[in-house]
Amino acid sequence: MDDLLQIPCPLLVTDLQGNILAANKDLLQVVGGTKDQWTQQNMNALLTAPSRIFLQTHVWPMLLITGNVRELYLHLRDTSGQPVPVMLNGSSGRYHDADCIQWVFFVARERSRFEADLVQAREKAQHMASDLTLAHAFLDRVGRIAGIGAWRLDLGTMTPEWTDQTCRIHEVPPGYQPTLEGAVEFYAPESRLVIKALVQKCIAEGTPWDAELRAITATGRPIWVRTAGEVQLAAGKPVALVGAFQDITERKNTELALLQTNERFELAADSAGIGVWDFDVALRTLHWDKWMYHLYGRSAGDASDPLVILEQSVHPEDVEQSRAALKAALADVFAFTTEFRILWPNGELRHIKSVGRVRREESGRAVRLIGVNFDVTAQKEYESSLTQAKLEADRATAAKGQFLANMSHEIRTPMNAILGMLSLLQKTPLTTRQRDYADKTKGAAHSLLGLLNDILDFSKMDAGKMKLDIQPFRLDQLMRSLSVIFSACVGSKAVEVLFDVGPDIPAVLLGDSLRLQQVLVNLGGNAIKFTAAGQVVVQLRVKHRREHEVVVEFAVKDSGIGISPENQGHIFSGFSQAESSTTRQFGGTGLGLSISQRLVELMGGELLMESALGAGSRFHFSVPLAIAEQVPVALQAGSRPVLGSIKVLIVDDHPVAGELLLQMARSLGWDATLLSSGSQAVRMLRAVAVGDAAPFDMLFLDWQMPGMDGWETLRQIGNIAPDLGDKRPLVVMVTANGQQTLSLRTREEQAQINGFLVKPVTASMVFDAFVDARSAGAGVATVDDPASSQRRLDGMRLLVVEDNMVNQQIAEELLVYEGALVSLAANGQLGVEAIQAAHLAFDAVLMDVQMPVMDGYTATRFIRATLDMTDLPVVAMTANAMPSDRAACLDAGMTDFVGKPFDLDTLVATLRRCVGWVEFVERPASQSPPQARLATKATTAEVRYGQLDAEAALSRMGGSTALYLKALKSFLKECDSAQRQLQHHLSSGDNVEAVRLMHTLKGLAATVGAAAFASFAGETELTLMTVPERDDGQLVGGLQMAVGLLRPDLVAAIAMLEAGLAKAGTKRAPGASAASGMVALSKSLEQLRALLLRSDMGALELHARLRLEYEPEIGDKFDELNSAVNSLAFERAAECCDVLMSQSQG
Amino acid sequence: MSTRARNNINIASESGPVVLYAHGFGCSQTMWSRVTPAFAETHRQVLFDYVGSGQSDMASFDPVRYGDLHGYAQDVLDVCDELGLTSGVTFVGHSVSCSIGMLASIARPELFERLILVGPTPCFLNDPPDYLGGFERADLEGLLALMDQNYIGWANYLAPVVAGAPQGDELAGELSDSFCSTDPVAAKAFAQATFFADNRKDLPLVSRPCLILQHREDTLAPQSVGSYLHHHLRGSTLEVMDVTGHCAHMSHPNLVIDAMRRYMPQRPA
Repeated sequence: MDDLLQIPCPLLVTDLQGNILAANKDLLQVVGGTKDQWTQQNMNALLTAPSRIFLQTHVWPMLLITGNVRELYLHLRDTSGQPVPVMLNGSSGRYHDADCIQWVFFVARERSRFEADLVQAREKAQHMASDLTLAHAFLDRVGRIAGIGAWRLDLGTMTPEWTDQTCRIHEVPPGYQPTLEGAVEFYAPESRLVIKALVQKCIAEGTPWDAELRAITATGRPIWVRTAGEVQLAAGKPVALVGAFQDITERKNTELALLQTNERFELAADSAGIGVWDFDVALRTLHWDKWMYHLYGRSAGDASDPLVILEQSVHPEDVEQSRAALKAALADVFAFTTEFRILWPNGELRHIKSVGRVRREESGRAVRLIGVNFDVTAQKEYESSLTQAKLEADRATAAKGQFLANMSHEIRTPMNAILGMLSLLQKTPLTTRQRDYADKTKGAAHSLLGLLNDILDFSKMDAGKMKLDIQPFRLDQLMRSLSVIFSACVGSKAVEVLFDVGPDIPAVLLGDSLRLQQVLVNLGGNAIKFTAAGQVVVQLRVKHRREHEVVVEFAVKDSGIGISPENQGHIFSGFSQAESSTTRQFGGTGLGLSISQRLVELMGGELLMESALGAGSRFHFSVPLAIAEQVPVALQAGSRPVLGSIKVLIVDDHPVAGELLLQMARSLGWDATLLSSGSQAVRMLRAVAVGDAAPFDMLFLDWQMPGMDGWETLRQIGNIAPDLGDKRPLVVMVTANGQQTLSLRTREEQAQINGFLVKPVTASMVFDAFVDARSAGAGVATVDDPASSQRRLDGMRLLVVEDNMVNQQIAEELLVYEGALVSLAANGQLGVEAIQAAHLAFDAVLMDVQMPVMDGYTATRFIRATLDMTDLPVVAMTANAMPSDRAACLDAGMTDFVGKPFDLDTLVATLRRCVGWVEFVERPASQSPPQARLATKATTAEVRYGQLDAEAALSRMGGSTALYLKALKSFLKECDSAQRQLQHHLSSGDNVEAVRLMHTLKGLAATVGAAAFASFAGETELTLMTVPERDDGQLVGGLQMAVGLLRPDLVAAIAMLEAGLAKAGTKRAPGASAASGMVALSKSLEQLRALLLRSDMGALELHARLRLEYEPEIGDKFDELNSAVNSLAFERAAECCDVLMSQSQG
Repeated sequence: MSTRARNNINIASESGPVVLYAHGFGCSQTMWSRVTPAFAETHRQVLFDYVGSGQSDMASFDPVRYGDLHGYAQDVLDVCDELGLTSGVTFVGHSVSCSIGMLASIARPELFERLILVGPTPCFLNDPPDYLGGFERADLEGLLALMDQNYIGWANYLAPVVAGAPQGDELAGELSDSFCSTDPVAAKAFAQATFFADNRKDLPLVSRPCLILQHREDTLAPQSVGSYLHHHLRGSTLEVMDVTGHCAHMSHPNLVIDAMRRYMPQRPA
């Protein structure tokens, strides 16, 4: 065994516990020290710490069990303590009669294992003489293990000698001895020259070689070999070449394949700026290629741990998200993509996109993540610039919309003035030419106003501010309004507008009837406009019926010019008509359809069309409309009186019109007959006269018929009237044209008819016409019966429960004006007390909802429950127009409600209905008694004062400028103290009072027509009620700003109204004494008295003017006069004038 | 996959009180082959491989579970549960398995009668000045690198040997049998769990009696570590074997067998 220690490579012998028994000098050369020194120690001492652990945990267990270990890598410690990588074999043996382990080290300092073998080969040769057999066997064993063969070329004999391993590589049997030529022949042809040159150079110059060449084995298999050789000297002379030989085919192929792949990949990655990373899941180590460093702003030479760089670079806000992406990838998926921001060392922000794949073992365990990073900063910046651009474009669009809205609004104000002034101008004496100019100017101004309204709507919708106001409405009322508008549109055109309303549509629906009307007016208006002659049919059908709603299809079909397919696409877009030539021919903005379409969309439908050039158009849409479940009293139509068995005759040449009329009549339960010409009608009536046919109750006679028209028919019927006797039917003339042409007929002709219907008609219009004709008898009533125009609430005992003084006053004055006997109460508690204390029971109570002490709901519940007055009508006055508020009113037991600010006509109608003074058909607003309205509109009311819609406000106050002035002043006072009050309530934590304050302001603002302020106050009220964590400072500031904006308008309005009243004081000079005013009054009264005594209707106008001028000063004294004039008691009125004159002179 | 197959459970002998052997890092149950014959007649001896080691089911390896010694302790408990063991188990662990056994006994004290700890250390790392585990963090990182190098070497080496030389079969077989951790990922995880573990705080929680078998010269578990354990393990017995190295049960099995016999009560005759 000691002989073995002569083997020229580091050898060590230890016992089974690693204690050193022997070490040879080659080992000592590496580790230093002496043999004796080491034999005291354990082999652990030769090793670095990691190697000790590895020895203990891996090597010893293996060695102890199997008796040997092979090819282990460990680190020896050299003389200076530095690690020396070694390959190590160990096997058990005997040493001095004891079990031992023999260790062989292959030192592989800086060079490869291969070179260590080369050294072995050289030394083997050098020591061949002394230890040949042993060494050869050993070398071969080593060679076999390492796959390395050795060879020797004796330069004397030029005979090569191969070890067994070399033979194996050549695939020849061990012991094969080749010739030199034969050995070279094993190389591939192109490699033979190379090896020959290397050998020759080595022999000649002593240059060693180490080359990788191609060879072909004995079986013809091409392989890659690594061959190395050098000169062996003996006594300074070369005696042989010795070398090593290794099969490296597999490595070479792998290398080549890798190289190709890598080249391709690197080319792709580098040119695309893609960095590649590789994460070892188990070891938690991350490897980066050089591009990764580049992407993270690191210099080319940076070799920091990528994990550290990542930690430093990833934007703090993106860390969580990147981690989550990584975690998700590891847990669930095979690939992942994530984006995050990084910060370069120089502070630059970059966006990185990371795409990776998860490598898993068959078990599914994630082993590696490999992936790429690339810089998407440019893309991100582009995206964000796009977003920014879009944002700016949106902003610009919004600003444009706002501008349009503002401009339309601003222009509307002076337009109102222009229209008002033109109306006034038209009332003055004008020459024919002047009148023509004025008429045309007014026409132009009207279309301009319409255009502005369109633009306003359009921009509202553009800004998304268009909201539907969903309320219960009566479909027949909507159709009646449409009828009026359409008949005006038709004018003298030969166009029949027909309504075809499905009988199964519920009478009362929930929807925005005004907007619905707007759409239908637009569609119908267009249809009429683009139809030179023919018909326009408005058709309503139930498409679906569900439990709580119906889907109604509205269609407008005309027989007009139609729209070509290529133009159909863009007619719905704003500002365009089908063709520009159309615009020239028909005018219009082209906004209407666009607005209609959007309104329909808001309602949940889609406006569609079918059309063909010359074949007319059909526009239609279907919208869901909820069926009103609680129909307000105001919309409840009493059931139609049963008229018994009715038989009517319809005469119309137009087949559709006639058919529709027939269906309407039948839907009313009538027995109807349709004839298509006047002559047929006359024949039919002749048959009636002789008893061949049953008599008709009524004849609906179309005016315009070819040949024999309605009037001619009427004339011929008149001829057989004596034969008919009492079988002569009542006659209702039906016309597609306006009623004004009626005035062209003679009085005698007019006396022939009992009623008049303008197409388009609805079933209820037909019914009303029938009832009216029956009750009115012959002759068309052109003037309202004065008796029916009396004060509409005459004698009604009303209690108004309202805490706001101004509203109290308005309500009281309006109601008293209508003849009601009004009591006032300032809150619910007082209201309830007033009801209990009343000697004569109230007919109805008008109840404010929000009041101090006791609110309207509580008061109403008290009235219903505690006072047990279930029948007393209680009408809520609420500024909250939300359906939920209305529902709350009904829940509290209120009978009905009116919105604040209230419309006089609505208020009156509601009260009359509640109290049971119900007309069967509600009188349209325009038919309210003319004397109930003060003729102040022309002078003041059409003017807006900035934010104030004075017209609307005045109309709600029955046109009383004085009342409006009072309201304005009171509101101004409220405004001036509002900010301080709100501040006070908020700082003292009194939210209830703060809410009440804003509620009051909302009501007052609405009353005076300051809609914007009212909605601001409403929003603030809501905020106070619902947002506990609001910014009180902001609320107060907002109020201050709102007041600041409104105040100038209020002051201006007050000033102008006061000036207007003063100026209207006719001859009264500013600052003139009251006496001179009284003189002027006396003169006016005298004039009035004269007119009254002559029963001249001009008295009404003069009375109105006087009232406007003087009532603020001497209002009370006018009461009797007012009352008398209003009831057209002219004689009594004249007496009042006398009294007033004597007073003013006195 | 049953725990039996997953952990390659082998019953070395059937009857008697249960002795459960747990191998250390770097090896497999094979390491107990020189101890088990001594108890073949007297004890029921259970052997197993941790998941990731020896002949365990590699597919069951979960880097999260086995990134921490508690995962290995769960293997011990799983093995007991699989065999329906509920009490009376003598746990014999080597090296890191000592810590694993302690963790298992803390989790289920009722299961274990006693622990026999061969070359235990609660923490391989130095924590000066109070504790010297013997190694620095950098050493353990060096170990990981070394494992890498060797495992790859073995993989490369074994393939041609097995393919090329008929006489290599025997060698390859020996290697793969004994070289327990041929899966580099699992081995690395085990290495990290082992060498970065610090179970010193768990020692007071161990309620079962422990026999500490300390090697006189053990580069992995110096005597100071044995003393530390003895001091912190309530009711423990410390025995120092006159052995250099870390694997007395393999190099000097008789010493270990004798110590075990002394520590385990003799079965009444």
